[in-house]
Amino acid sequence: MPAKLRRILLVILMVISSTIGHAQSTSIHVEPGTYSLNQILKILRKEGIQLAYSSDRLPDLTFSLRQEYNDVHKLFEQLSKESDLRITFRGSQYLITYPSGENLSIRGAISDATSGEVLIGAAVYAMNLESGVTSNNYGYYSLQLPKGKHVLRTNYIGYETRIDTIDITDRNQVRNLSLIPKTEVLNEVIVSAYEPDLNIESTIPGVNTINLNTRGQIPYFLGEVDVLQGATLLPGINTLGEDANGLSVRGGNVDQNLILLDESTIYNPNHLYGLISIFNPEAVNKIEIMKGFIPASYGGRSSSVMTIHQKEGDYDSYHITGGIGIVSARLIAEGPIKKDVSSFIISSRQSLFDLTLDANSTNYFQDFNAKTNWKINPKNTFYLSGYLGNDRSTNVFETDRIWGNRNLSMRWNHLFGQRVFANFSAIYSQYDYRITQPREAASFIGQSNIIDYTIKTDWGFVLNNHNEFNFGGSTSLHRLIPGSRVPYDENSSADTVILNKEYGLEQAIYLSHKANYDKVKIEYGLRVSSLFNVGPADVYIYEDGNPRADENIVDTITYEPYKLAHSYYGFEPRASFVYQWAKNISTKLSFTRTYQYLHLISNTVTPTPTDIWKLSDQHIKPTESNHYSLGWFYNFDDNNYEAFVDGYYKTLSNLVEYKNGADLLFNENPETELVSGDGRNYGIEFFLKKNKGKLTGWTSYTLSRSELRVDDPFESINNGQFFPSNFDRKHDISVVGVYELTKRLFTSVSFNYNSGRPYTRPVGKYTYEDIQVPRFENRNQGRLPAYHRMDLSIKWHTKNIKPDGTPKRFNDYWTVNIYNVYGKKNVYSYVFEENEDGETQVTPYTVIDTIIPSLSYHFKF
Amino acid sequence: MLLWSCQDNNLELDDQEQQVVIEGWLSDLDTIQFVKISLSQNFLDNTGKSYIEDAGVKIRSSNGVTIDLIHSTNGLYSTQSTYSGQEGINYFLEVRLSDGRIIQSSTQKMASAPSLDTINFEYYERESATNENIIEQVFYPITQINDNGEEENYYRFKVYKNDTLFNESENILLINDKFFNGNSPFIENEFTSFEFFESDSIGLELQEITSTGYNYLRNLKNQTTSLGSTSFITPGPINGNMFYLNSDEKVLGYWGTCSIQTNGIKIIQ
Repeated sequence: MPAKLRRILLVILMVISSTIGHAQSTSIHVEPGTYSLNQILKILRKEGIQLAYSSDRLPDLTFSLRQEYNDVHKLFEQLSKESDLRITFRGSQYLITYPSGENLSIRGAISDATSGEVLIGAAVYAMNLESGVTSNNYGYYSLQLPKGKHVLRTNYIGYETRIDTIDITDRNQVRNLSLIPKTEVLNEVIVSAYEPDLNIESTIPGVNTINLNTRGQIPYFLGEVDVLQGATLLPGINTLGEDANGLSVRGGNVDQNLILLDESTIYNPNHLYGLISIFNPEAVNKIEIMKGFIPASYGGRSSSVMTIHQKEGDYDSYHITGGIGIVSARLIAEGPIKKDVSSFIISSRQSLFDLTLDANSTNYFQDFNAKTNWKINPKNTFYLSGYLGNDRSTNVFETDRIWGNRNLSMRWNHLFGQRVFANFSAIYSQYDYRITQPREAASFIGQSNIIDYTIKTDWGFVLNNHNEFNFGGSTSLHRLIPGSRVPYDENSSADTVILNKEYGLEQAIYLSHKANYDKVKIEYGLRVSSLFNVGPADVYIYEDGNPRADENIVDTITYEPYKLAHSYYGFEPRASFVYQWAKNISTKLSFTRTYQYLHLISNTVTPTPTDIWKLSDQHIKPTESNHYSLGWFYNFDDNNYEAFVDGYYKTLSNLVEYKNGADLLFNENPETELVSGDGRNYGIEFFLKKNKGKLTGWTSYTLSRSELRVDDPFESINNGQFFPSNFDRKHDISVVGVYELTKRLFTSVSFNYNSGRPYTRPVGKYTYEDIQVPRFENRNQGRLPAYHRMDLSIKWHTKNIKPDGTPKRFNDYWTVNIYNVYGKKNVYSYVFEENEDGETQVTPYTVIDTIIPSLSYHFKF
Repeated sequence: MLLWSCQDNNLELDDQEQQVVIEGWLSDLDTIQFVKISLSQNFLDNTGKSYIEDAGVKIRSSNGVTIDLIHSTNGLYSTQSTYSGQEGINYFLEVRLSDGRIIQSSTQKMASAPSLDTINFEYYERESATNENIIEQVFYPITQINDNGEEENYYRFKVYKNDTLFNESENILLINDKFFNGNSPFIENEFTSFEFFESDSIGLELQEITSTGYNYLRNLKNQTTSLGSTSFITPGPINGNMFYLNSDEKVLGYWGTCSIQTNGIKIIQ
């Protein structure tokens, strides 16, 4: 930034800052003459001007003042003009800094002092320079500082702030910083920005972090701590109702969220058909949801990115943690493999009772997480983590269904030189669905799955404290088996039917630059993505000018293995601009374009475990999303309160929709049942959160619309006009409060209200073969009644202090949850049916229509 | 609180114009053939159905045969004598309404259903719904058919218990040969969702229908059985095979051809 422009901005900002901040008199009296900088500052102090500067680092400067100065701003303007002094107004005082000559770098990892786990997004701040950075997604930081002594402040939510005085003497200084947790607690969920003011400064608007380390606990269904359920209390995040798979973020479909567990894609995030998430609260420590701006390092989905990090295991001592509730029992073991060098954590969860609503089948689940880490030296760390989960449903005829995710990721973090960080990952993701039907004569085993083999690398280059570059790339081989059926045994009369596998190579490279100045922060970048459909493949060619249908197939092109069948490229610019009006106020403007090459093919209102994924191909184009957001962020009362107002507008094209009456079961050419649509989602989110005191919590309100249009020449839906999507909820209100009754007793309440979702109402009825048939025409023209529900939770910690005042090794607590406190019968859908008298009736269907209390117990030692 | 005082929305269903509904299946049995013509209603109208009783109804075939159907009562039209559809012949239905509009179906080819020579039953045990101390035996039919491996075949089974048809929409039983095309000698079918008890008689009717008829019934079943469940098929219009020659209006229902085989057995252990 040119010096002149900077000086003009300085004056403007000082005036604005003075207005916004605490008022301070600016009148002074300084006679003309020659002064050293030190002398001027002494005079100003005497005049009552509050100043902050490091006296030992004050440069030896002399100024000749040719006129009398009566306004401190004019004097500072003159001083800035004649030197490189930087003068900013902070809080109630003027901060004076001076750039020194040579900058050296200090770098390292920030970690939990007790467990050794790295902390992502922790802030390292040179207090004397008012300059700092946050640790990256792998817990590493790199800070540029002038040679000499500095005071470093390191902080992270839930940890004691650490102050270090460091002496930067050499060029290549590695310093790992560890933070001490504030309290010894087990797993609960809270939603927060990482650090005070980070929500103001971050270039990622619309990011929410669900952190599992805090004292209170919000209420959960059946007491099962559930990060996805917690997420629905955030603005812009919703589900279709109880017992519905997946999340909708800002009106998007459930397949538009990239869910990453230690970088590995999770294709189905739910157990028990959507009742709870697959993430064992004992095994993960943080979920971050990016629903507005998505950095260039992520891509492949149209709505959001959810990153979930598994715990690393304690590097110092062994622990057993566990819990039991109505839903599941959980056990976790962790400890060092080699103290302070390597650790492990393994955890397992098993459902206890069949909780699903289907009386004809029994359902249960289990999952298993494991992770190990090896800090080879300060520059190299190796991670290996895995997840294995299964849901199982068996009916009285021995039909057995099993589905679940399997994930494995290996990561190596390495520091190159002073300023370059690199991560290398090899990742395996799989989602399987398998049905075994042994009883019928045509007995069979059916299967569908998707497997990804991914390698990726991410690099960070810290040029200086103001400029950081990130770049990298990834390659994923997707292998999809849309369906296979083989005879159960030699007596079966079933045929072997195997639909063609799909192979696609999805690749991306990206480069982004983050510029970080006092008032202005910019992050921009470009991601270039591509999809190559490769053989073996049979591609059906349909007659031009006719709908895609079996009878219009004019040719079939067969591609040999590894031959390119089709390709797509996508240029995905990303940009986020933050203007910080004051330390606690900012405005953020962002744009994100993404391309989605994988689609969940489903013609049910809520997705089911049997739904298959489908790659974009000759007939199904990638979904393009353009997302604009503009928000105001404001923290006040010394960061006790965080608030934001965030507006967004998103357009989507080439959405995969399905024809009325689509038959997607074992369909060799599903494109005959699919049509392309457009979408537009827009809204405004309001959020206010209280961070400190006996009462903490947040409230949010979202006003939004989510609409679709299918104007296909051969199959229009709703006459080609925009209509509300299944996720259209005009109003959405959440209120969450946690109150500390005593140091060991907490109570919390959550309340959620949202407009009823759209449903398709019948416009008439008729009779066919004595069956009453509702006559439907246009989709989603009706609206269910509004949904609202209140939950309560009480959490009681047993004494964790021995009589002699020392802490006990064994810690435990109980929680009582009351779900749906006032027993609201929320309507999930309407059933249209005939009663015994042959009269038509409309019956509201409710999934949960009563108060559901639960009790759970958790321990750690 | 203000929010809590909000009342649930009343369900408002639009008044719509009535549409013509046509129902009928021409079989290859030598019997009286029927077509039913009615009108759709507003959804919450329980005043009784309306019928069209003055239409001219003809079944025409690709070999030049025209069969007239005469109205008897409540929109039911029937042939004046027995008639059996012929295998391999294409048929279509023509309906002339009194206001001059003409409705026609798509052509439907008469199939030839495989014989239903074997029929048997199996059972499973369960606690009685009325007394959990009693374990009751629930019987269900098993049958075998020979599938023609030369072509895609679409089957519908109708199940009768003591000569009464299971006539709910969930009882529409459809099977195509996608997973066992032409397997010999038999395809065995177990109808576990139909409950029979000792001394009941089982009646089975196998129909071979066209792919469009199969898809119509599949949609009809989906749209009338899954609605309201937690993962229901998106509601939508069920497109049949009837259309106006001189109007853009829609016609509801389906007229098709079916080749029929029947068999029965009494449950005696």
